[in-house]
Parts: sequence; structure tokens; C-alpha cells
Amino acid sequence: MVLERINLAKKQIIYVAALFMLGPTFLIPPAQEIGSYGWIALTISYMGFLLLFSLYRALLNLAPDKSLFEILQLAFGRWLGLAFSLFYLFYFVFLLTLIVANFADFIDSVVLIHTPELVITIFLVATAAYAVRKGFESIARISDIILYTSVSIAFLVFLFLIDKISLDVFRPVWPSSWSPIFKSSLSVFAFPFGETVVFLSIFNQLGKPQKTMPSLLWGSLIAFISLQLVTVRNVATLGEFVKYSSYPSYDVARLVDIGNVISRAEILISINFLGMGYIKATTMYYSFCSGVAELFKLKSYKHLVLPVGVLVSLSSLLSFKTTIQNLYFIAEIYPYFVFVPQVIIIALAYIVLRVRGKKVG
Amino acid sequence: MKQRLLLGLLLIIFFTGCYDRRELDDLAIVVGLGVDLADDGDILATVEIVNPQVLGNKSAGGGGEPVWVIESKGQTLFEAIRRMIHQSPNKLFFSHNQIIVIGEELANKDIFLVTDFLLRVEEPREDAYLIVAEGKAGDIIRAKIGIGSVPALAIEKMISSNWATSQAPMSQLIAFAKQTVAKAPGVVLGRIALRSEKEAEISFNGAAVLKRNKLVDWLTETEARGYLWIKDQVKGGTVVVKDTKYGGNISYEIAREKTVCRPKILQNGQMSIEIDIAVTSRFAGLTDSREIENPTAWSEYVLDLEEGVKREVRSVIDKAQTLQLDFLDFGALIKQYYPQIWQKKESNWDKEFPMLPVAIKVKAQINSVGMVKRSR
Repeated sequence: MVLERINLAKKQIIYVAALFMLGPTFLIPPAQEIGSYGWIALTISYMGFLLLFSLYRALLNLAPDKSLFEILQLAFGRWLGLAFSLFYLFYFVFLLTLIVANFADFIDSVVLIHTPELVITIFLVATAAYAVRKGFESIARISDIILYTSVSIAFLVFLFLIDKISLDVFRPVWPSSWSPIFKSSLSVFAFPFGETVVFLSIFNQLGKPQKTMPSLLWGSLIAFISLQLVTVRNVATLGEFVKYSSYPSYDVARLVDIGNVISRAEILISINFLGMGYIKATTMYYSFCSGVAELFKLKSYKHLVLPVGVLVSLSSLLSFKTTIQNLYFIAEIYPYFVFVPQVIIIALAYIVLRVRGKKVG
Repeated sequence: MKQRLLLGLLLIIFFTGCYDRRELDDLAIVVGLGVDLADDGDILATVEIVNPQVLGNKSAGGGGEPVWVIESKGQTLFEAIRRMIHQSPNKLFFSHNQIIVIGEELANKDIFLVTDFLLRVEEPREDAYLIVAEGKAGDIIRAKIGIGSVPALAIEKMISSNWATSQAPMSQLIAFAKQTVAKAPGVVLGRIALRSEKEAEISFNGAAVLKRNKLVDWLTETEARGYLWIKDQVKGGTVVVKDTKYGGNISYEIAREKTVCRPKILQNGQMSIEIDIAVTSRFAGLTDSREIENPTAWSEYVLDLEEGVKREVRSVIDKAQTLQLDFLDFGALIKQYYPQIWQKKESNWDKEFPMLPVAIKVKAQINSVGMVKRSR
């Protein structure tokens, strides 16, 4: 059963996928804790993502018309499938909370310092709720403008900084010890690349996997290249300082100064962050609402949107007190926790379906 | 329904505003910050605030001074700054702060007392200049400068136009933070000094050498230039060379330069640093005209210039090696090119650095004699 048909052009799926992966990472670049080796961790994790992508594609090819929740029920039976589905829903709403918390925390600590976090959160969630109620098509429609502006802003800031860049920080090229690199790779793999598991739950609404999966791949490539650009830019500008900066991209943009005319470019970075985080948040939001509607056989997801928004606002306010806690969680706990929904359950489902030899849909 | 919606939109437009807005007349815009150590060990902050009303309409006259200097004490820099609200009608606004001057006594104690606050708080900018004062920082902030109505902005200009002599590093807060985080053993910051109490003249030349967070020594103008040669930051300036043959001095103006520093393993297996400097310059003054058209004399001029540059570079290396402090960051160079060897050397670097052989190679070019061949 398909809850809702979404008509999107291939291009729009690419843009949404790219923005979804970029999300808040433009502001808090992944693998910043290993400084100048960040690009290695990013490359390794993208390789990992390509493997994961082939797993997702193989799974969708086994059941082209099914959503993630139906696949889970097919593979694990009714009750276990339901349990896993609920776990996925929990993961979605949890990730949504994390993103909203990220947002509010950034705005509260850098841009609007004396504004209560509650006010910021409510406005963010209300805007997202409005878009979700209007349907996924309207979310996708603004994605191309956001992608173009964000990537060109990132590139522009890079150009503005060209005189402050030093490539010496990338020496020595190979690290003396690889274990921190792999650890960071795992965290980059979990956030943002592995989060594409969310798309499995809505791809059946978008069309055949022949259409959606290549778009996901292209989107991920755009995301990977842009992220690499941002990582290299930040490290080349800030050197080792990148490790201890709370918002490296923001710090980098603060340094832009061309003849006292073009300076203080940090607001551009905030625009980037808001735009991309918005797409990510609305996609998660939509997936969660439509997932709940599908699982509980509701006619429409629309009346779920507002209550979910209230819950998310509150839980995001309660979740993290500071960026440090947030970053610690992303680096130390999150990768291991989300490995289960991102890789293990999907792989199990694939193996089970394959062994049973069931061709469905 | 539509009308209600329209009414709602109108209400949003006309009855809302920025929650956290601050208007210009509610701000005390800080352009310069000086930090000193008070006698009782507290932090003494001095800030220079611009008075936009006076700056804006000079023709109207009156209205007082264009800048206002206040100082305040506290156990930490932040406390000192917040206490300034007791003296200032407006809350201090640091986003336009241009210079951070650290007093000598405080630099002797711990400069991190200042930098952490400036990096952590979102208002001050990381590209402000961080310089060390010989004496009290407060005196520098209070000093009058002959040109321009805002002294701190004049100092900022003094620093940024310093490339014309290249005799002091244009040290920004962010550069300091980068080096500190990278665990550089020493950091070099620009030096500012009061030249005479009466005239309140100030000069920005030379540099302060810090052993991570503590001031250990000063660099002279020549040594500071040597440091800039090594860091590939010489943008201009003069090299003056004694004319041994004919007497008098020859001055060369530096037009361009490019420095490449590389660690190199000598034949006996010892680590060394090789500094290659390519400099393009032109004659800026000959006190005694030699046969400038003569090709053999020409190569002597080139050699003289090369020697002059070498002396400057050598002076700072000697200084670093006598101080036993690798503020030139040669250790980082070795780490970049020979990471395995560096792992062995790292723990013992303080001892090894003073013995490190450094080869300086200068390739000079004189590409212009100027508007005249001879002046007499």
C-alpha cells in the first residue's frame, strides 16, 4: 500500500538527497576532531556509504513497491517486524529532535543570544510543520534554490579566504596512527551518510527504485564533494584550531576580510545552515509522520503533524544543554547506536528475504 | 477567513521587532582593548570607546571628545569588562574591536588569561590584532596620536601598513590561537611601545617572543625582520648595507620575496633546516655612486644585498638558539616532512634545537636602478 504518491522530478530527488546529507554538517563539519586528517576520514566513510548504498539498492530491488516498514514485516514477520518498525520510528523522531536541538543551540549561542531557546525552537518547528502539512512536494520544491545558494556560498567563502589559506597543515599527509581516523570515519559514516536510511521509508512514494536510487547516489556525490570542500577550507584556514572551534565554518567566515569591504561573512554561513538544516528537518519530520500513519493504517498523516511538532520542540529543549554535550554525543555514542538501524537491521532483512527467495511486489 | 489572515499578517509586520535588538545609540562601541596586571594581581582592562555623535558631525562642533577611555578592575578579564557598565551609560559592544594590547607584566604572567575570553565570547573578532606593549597597555590605549581622531583605529592602521617596513609581525588573535593549539613552543607577537611620556608618541616595531603563554624576550627590528623572512611574510621595506669599498650606506628596497623552508638531512645523518630566500629589490639610495653601469660592480651589489638579508635572518636564528626556544617553529617543519624522525626528536627538542644547523641561501635580484643612473 502506498500512502501517498509524490511526484518529484529526478533532479529534485537529487537535491533533496544532497541537502539531507549536508544538513547541519556545513556548520559542524564532521571529523573536525582529527583536524588535518579530516579529508581522509571523509573519504573512507564515503566508501563505506557506497557499500551501504548497494545494500539499500539490492534490498529495494527485492521489493520495489514496498516501504521500509512493509519490508520489515515481510522479512521478520508481523510482530518482530512491527517492533523493528517502531524502533525505526523512534530513530526518526530522535534524529529530528537532534537536528532541532542543533539548530536552536547554534542560534541561541551565536546569533540571538538573549532570545529564549523556546522561542527559536517554536518558530523553527512551526515553519517545518507548515511545510510538512503541505506535503513532500513543497519541501522538494525549495530544495534547488537552497542547494544552489548554499553550495555557491560555501565556494564563495572559500574564494574569499584564498589569501589566508595554508596547505602546509596537510603535512604529513598520512597519519602516524590510524585508529582515531577510523573512529572518526565511523562517526562520519553514521552522521550524515548512514542517515539516508530515512529515504527507504519514503522512496516507495516517490516511484520505482530505478528512478530513486541513482538520484540518491548523485545526491550523495554532491554532498560528498561539498563536504570535502568545506572540510579542506576550514582546516586550511584554521589549522589545528579547527579541533577546538565550536563552529569552524562560522569562525572561518568571520575571518573573511577583503580590503575592509567584503568582510563579516558569517551571516552567509548561518543562511547555509538554516537552509540545509531545514530540508533535513522537514524530511525527517515527513518520514516520521507518514511512517506513523502507515504503520497504524491512518488515512492521512496530516493531523499528526502538529502534535508531533509540539513533542519534538519540547524534547529538543530537554535533550542537550550545550554544544559540547551535543558534539560528544555525536562523536562517542551516536555512531554505535545508529549502526543498528542504519546497517544491521537492513542487512538482516536483505539476507532473510534473499534466503527465502521471495520475490515480492 | 482571508481578511483575518490578512489582518494577522499585518499585525505580524507592524507589531513585532527583533527580540534582542540594540540600537546604535544604546551601544558603546569599543575599538581598542588594553589589558594589564593590577598591583594586587587582578586584571585591569582599559577600553577605548568611540563617540559616534562627535565623529559623525564634525561641523556641528561641541559634544566632547571623539573617544572616551575607561578602565576597570576585576578578578578576570570578563569581570573587569562587565564592571565597566558601572561607569558607562551603555553596554560595551566588542564586535568592532580592532586591537588587543597586552601589558608587559600580564604577558610575563600568563597571556591565556586574556585570549581564552576573547576566543570564547562571540562578540570580539578573531582577526583583531594581538600585540604586546612594552610597559602598560593602558598607556598605549590612552595615548594621543597626531593623525586621525580615533587612536585605536590609527594604531590598527599603523599595524596594517607595517608591511612597508616589515619590521614587526602583524599578529592577529587567530594566528596566536592556531599556533597555541598546534602546541608551538613559542609565539611571536607584535610589539608596541610608548616612545616618550610627554608627547605620548607610540611606535609599533619589533616583536615579543612568548614561550607559549609567557613573555620571555623582545626582538629588535632586525630580528623581527629575520623572523618575517623565515615566515615568508616580508612584503616590503629596506635593507641597508654598509658599502665597504666606497664608504657610506646603500639602501635597497624590497619589492618581492619568496621564502621556502625545508628540513634536510645532512650527509652525516644530522637534521638541518634549509632556508631559501628569493628576493627581488631595487636601489633606493646610494650614498656613494659606484660604477653602477659596470657589470662586475653590479654582481657585488647583488652579493652585498644577499649578505644583508642573510645577516637579518641569522640574527633571529641566533636569538632563538640562545633563548633555547624554537619560536621559529622549525620543529613543526620537521614534523611535516619527516614525521617518523620527529616522533623520536619531539621529547628532546628543547635540547636539540640550539644545536640545529641552519643553512640560509639567498638569491637576490636587483631589477631597477631607479629614475637616475647617478645623482652626482
